[in-house]
Amino acid sequence: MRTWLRVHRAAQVCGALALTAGLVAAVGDVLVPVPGLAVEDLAGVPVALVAPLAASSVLVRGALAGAGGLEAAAVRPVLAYRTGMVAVVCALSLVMALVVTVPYAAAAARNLVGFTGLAALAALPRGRRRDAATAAPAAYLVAAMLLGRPGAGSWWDWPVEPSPHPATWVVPAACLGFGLAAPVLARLRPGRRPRRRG
Amino acid sequence: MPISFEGCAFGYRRGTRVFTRLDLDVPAGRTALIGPNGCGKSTLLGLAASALRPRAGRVSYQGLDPFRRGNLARYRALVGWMPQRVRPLPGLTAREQVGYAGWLMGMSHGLAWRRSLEALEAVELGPVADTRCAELSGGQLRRVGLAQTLVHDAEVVLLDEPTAGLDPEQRERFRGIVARIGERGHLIVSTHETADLAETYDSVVVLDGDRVRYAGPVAGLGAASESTRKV
Amino acid sequence: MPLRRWARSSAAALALPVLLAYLFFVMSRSVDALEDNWLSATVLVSSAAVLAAGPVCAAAGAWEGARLARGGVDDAAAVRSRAAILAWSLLPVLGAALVALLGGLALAGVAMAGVAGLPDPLVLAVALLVITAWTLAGFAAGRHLHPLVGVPLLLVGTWLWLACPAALETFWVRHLTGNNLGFCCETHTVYDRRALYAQAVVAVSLAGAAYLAWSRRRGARPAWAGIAGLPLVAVAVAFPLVRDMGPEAQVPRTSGLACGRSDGVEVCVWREREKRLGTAALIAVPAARRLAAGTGLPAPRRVTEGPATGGASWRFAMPPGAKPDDVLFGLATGLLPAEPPVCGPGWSGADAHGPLSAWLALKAGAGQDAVERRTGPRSTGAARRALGLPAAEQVRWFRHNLDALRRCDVSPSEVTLP
Repeated sequence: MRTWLRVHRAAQVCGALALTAGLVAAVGDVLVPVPGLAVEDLAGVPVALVAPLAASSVLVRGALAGAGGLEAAAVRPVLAYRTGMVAVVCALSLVMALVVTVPYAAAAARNLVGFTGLAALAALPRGRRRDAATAAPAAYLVAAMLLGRPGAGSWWDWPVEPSPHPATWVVPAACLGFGLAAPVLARLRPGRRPRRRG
Repeated sequence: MPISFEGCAFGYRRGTRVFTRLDLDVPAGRTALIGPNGCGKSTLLGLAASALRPRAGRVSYQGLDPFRRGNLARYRALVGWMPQRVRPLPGLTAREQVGYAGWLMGMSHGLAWRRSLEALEAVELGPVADTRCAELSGGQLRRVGLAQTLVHDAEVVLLDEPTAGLDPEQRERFRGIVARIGERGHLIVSTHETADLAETYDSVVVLDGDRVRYAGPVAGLGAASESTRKV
Repeated sequence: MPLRRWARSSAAALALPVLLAYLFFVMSRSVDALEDNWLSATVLVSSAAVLAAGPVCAAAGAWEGARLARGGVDDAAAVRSRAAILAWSLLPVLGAALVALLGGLALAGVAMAGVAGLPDPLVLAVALLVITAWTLAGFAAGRHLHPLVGVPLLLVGTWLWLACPAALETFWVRHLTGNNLGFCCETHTVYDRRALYAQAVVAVSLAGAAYLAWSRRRGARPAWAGIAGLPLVAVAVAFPLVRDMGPEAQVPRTSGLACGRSDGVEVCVWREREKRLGTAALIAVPAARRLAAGTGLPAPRRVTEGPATGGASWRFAMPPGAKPDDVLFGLATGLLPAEPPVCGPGWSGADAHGPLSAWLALKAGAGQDAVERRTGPRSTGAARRALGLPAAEQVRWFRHNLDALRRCDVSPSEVTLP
């Protein structure tokens, strides 16, 4: 398991998570002005809501790293390990958000869950496009900044919603749930379409 | 016991097919898998390794269909597969990479670590066991890939173009190693080298498009191609 | 490779629609508020292009850089130079940025229809330089980072660098990014070129460092001195240029006036407003005479939208859509000090500003309603009471309160209603 964790960059994932937590604690409440269509003036988005994207990217990179062919024919349940790694990191961020009293900690944890879930969904099709999976949460974040209305508590613009209102958890949790469950479900049905080989 | 492909259909994308219905029994011993580029050699090995799942039909070895409930781990423990491209895992030495392969195949960490050195010595890589894989040459990396398939004592060894891109000396060395592996059980090697089929392999499978052109002893290949030419 | 396939296989093909959409969003918020000069339009377009294309092109660069690395460019003994290899991947991305910039200019062109002038090429060139620098930074990052990390990191990191300084109290940082906050300049101001030079220095050094990081051959000693030194040199050169700047990089405009004579007085407007010179003269010259008579000041020989001394030349403004009352109010308040003296707490001189503005505007001939809307009923009331005084008393009242606005030791007099 130790080598599996090395191959899947667990140290880097922990480092990125710690760095993000530090960033959220230190400058999380600094507002970044962004042009938004739904608000009159520049909307301010706290750094704490943007920072989890980096941790999420490193996590997804770690989860998708590894010995492709070797793991595809492995006896050990590598898919479960991968799913577990992502789930544990997301759970850890939630625990940290509950324990630490820092502004926007819960919203940051929610965004880590949501960004990771979106990337997991984008990574479902195999092949080279999988390498662009983390562009999906980044694009969603930018779109939410442009079109969202921070503070309104709506379900879809959760990346820019500073409050951890329950409604803003629906999409991130669903994305993570589907993103992690889909490869497992695909394995259960016949005729899955794997990556092309020579 | 042969490895059986019964009515296997497979395609990478919806609407395309590499195999529409593949029926083939690969006997024990050393088997060469030959055919033009893109005919499905790697796909066939991927199916045999259970890394790919057929859309229809089944693959089995010793009566085990890997995709029937509860069979996958047992089946995979019997099979060792070396894909066409062996990637060095960042930061791992040759021994660590081979040990990791053993661990993935269900061995305990300690056992995999012990057996990794034996596997590396079997492919004549003992002296570079503690060298990082990223620093190995292309030929050495392929032998690391071979050691990965040997570490867990697989009964069926599947090698996808193991000698492609190697110089004559490396190829000769590889051939010797392959010959030794073949004595232990099933060995299926996809290759483009047909010059010394008779010396290296017991049987041969010729794939062409969606069809098996020939499957049988190497000795029969000449007569078969002769009759094909007459037709 | 055929041109179409070359362009289509690039990340630029995906980046372009995103880029155009973002640019349109950014510009659509501000295009209505454009000043009647091309510099403001150019700065808006360049800011929007930098804010939209900088992050997207950096992310596309990270993808392309990783593609080149994966393609084995490092290990290949290529006939072409590394710069040429880079250029072939860089060009489609920069092409997308250029298309976006031109699209932005076209959009601004529609909004600026009828305004004389052309876009400022230097502002646009610096914007392209900034985008190129970030794209190169993306390529450099892409060589060493997996796209799963590099693409979002560059996208959001670049965007944060461009957008975040606007929220900082440290003003000089914002003048280094190239974003320009989307605004500059009112027609009576121009862009402070020092900010432009600072942005160019930062962009060139970033591009240089990125190129060094990208082009280093595998196994060669890294050019750390260059990679780390260039940004340091850039900050050392650029910081003094922008250190003393305020929140906006604009300075008063000194050239570009169109002048004519009316009734012995020279009237000057900015050349963008040349068509309205006659109207300006009809409003401003009689008003200046009325003001001179009412305040006892010598009549001006020049009324101008440009720099004015306050003695022989008076200042006024005639922006598009300004009504005669607005012009009169501007001319009248132009006689008051632009900034209060530094007097510390307890200074009451500011109380005189409203009543004096109202009194001067009424003297110039502005309508009572318009004056009251601008200065409030209390100030207009005080001004109306002063207007009831004899002419000499009014002049004394005006001079005393003008002194109160200029000096710390004089208190306003009769500026509040009983």
